[in-house]
Amino acid sequence: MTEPTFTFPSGRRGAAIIIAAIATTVFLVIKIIAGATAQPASPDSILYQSNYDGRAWQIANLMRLQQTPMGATAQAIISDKLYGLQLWEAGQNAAGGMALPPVTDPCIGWPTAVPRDFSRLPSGIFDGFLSPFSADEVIITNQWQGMLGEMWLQVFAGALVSDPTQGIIIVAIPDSPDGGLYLSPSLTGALTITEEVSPGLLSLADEQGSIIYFDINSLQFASAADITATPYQFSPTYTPTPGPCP
Amino acid sequence: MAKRRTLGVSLVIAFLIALTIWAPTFSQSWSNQAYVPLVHGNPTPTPAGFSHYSTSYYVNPVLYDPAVLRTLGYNLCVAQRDEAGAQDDLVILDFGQPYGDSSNHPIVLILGTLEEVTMEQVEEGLRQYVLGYYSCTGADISSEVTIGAGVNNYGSWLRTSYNAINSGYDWGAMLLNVYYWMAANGYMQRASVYGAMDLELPWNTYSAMNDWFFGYMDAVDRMIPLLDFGDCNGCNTTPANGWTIDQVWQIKWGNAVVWPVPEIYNIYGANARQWAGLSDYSVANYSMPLLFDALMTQMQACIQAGGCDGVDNTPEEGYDQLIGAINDDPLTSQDRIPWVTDIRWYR
Repeated sequence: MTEPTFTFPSGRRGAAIIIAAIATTVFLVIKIIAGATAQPASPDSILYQSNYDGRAWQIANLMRLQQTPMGATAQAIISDKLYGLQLWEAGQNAAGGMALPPVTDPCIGWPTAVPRDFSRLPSGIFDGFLSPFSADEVIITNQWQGMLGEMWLQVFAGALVSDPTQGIIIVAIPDSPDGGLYLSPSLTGALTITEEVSPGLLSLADEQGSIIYFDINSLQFASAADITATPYQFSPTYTPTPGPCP
Repeated sequence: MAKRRTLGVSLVIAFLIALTIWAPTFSQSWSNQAYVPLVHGNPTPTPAGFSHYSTSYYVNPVLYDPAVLRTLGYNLCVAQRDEAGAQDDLVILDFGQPYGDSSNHPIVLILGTLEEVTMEQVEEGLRQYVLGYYSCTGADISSEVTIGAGVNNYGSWLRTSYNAINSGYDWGAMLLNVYYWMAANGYMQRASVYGAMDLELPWNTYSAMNDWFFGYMDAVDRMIPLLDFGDCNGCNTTPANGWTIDQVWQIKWGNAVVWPVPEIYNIYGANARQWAGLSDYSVANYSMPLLFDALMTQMQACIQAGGCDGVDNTPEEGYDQLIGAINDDPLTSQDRIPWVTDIRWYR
């Protein structure tokens, strides 16, 4: 008994099959390469139609995540996040059918501006409140705020995160580009404001218990004897954001 | 012999049919995966590049004024209207630090200034922003804004459970009032008002944050998402301030309402790597990555106030760093980050 063997068709039939196979293979290879570089078709199209719409992106990607294998905890989290977003999406769609009253005069109902009165703010030395600076940059121990001449300003004391031995002072003035960050003259740790000795002069303690001074008028560290007599003339720059109403 | 020939021809035809069926599937899946954010073991996709950023604000004693908030909403609408096409911007208004008034009712201290603002005042300010945004509508009815009404998580006041739960509850209840007002008046068509929190690990404990979110979700259920524009300090090594990495995950992603808006300030990419580290943790332990729908930089605030040595990324740099960090790993990659916002002081 002989083993069955495969014999390729010979003659015209064999040639036709070989040509067909080669042509098909070439066609498919071209198709693969072309397909790999093409934009994806629906259902992924939402990702591309919604470049300007952050919520649509969130929803599309949460729904995509739902299709991947994961535990019950993760599935529940995704469902919960979807719930809130889809609620807003439904609200947006429903609101689209509501006729908002045309805005004939945007100034109707415009609230009266509150006069800029910084004197209503607490003044003095305060501990334990958040400074407006990143915790990655500085450690703030406490702050002083109040009026100096016509200008309301804040002074924060502390140290650099990158070098906690480097004490700092930050002067922040809402109405002026002046101020900034000032490094203590010695590497003796974080500074703490202890007293407003006189208008514009703050005393500070470092971590070794030494007392130094910061003269807001000259925007520099000083000894007690170096008080600047003339108040610093901060340059006010406040210009109200123009709105449509006088 | 004839049978052998038939067998041979059949094999060739079967191969070609199989190839025809398989190839388009392979081709389609390959091309889709080039854009799909979650692909196991495939080449990292080329994400979309940076396009534009919006401006967010630290609310200060000037901006707290409802008239100023209305003007800001109006001016955003004008900017969107004057730009070609539909815009979708994220604007975070950072109102400040949760605290208690003289009766220990939750209020907010305007950032850094200690000015007390009640929940009613914040609610009124948000309504004025929305009204201002609608005042200029004109022909542009397709642009949108998502407003994040923000607080931070700073201070020992929040470390009392009662305070933290009440503060979270009142913030959520205030936002729910805004939600119903918007729904009743059709303002949801182009505006959304979410919660937001500058949630920084060094500023408070897991316990305090867990309490705050307990209160928040008690008020809003899952209706009002909350944008976390905080840090992830140590999330790729050891988290800061005694948080465990799983506690960070529970608060910053494993939560029904929270969406991360990472602060990407560090010019050397440290912040981006930290957040990517949290996403890696999420994949390894919960089989899902974080979805980053937005990020925040502070370029404008740095120009205004200085003191930003090494942490003054431009919005484009922030975008490139975060999309680059998460796309280093195909398991955490994304095709884009839809919103980029840069914070500044209102002056």
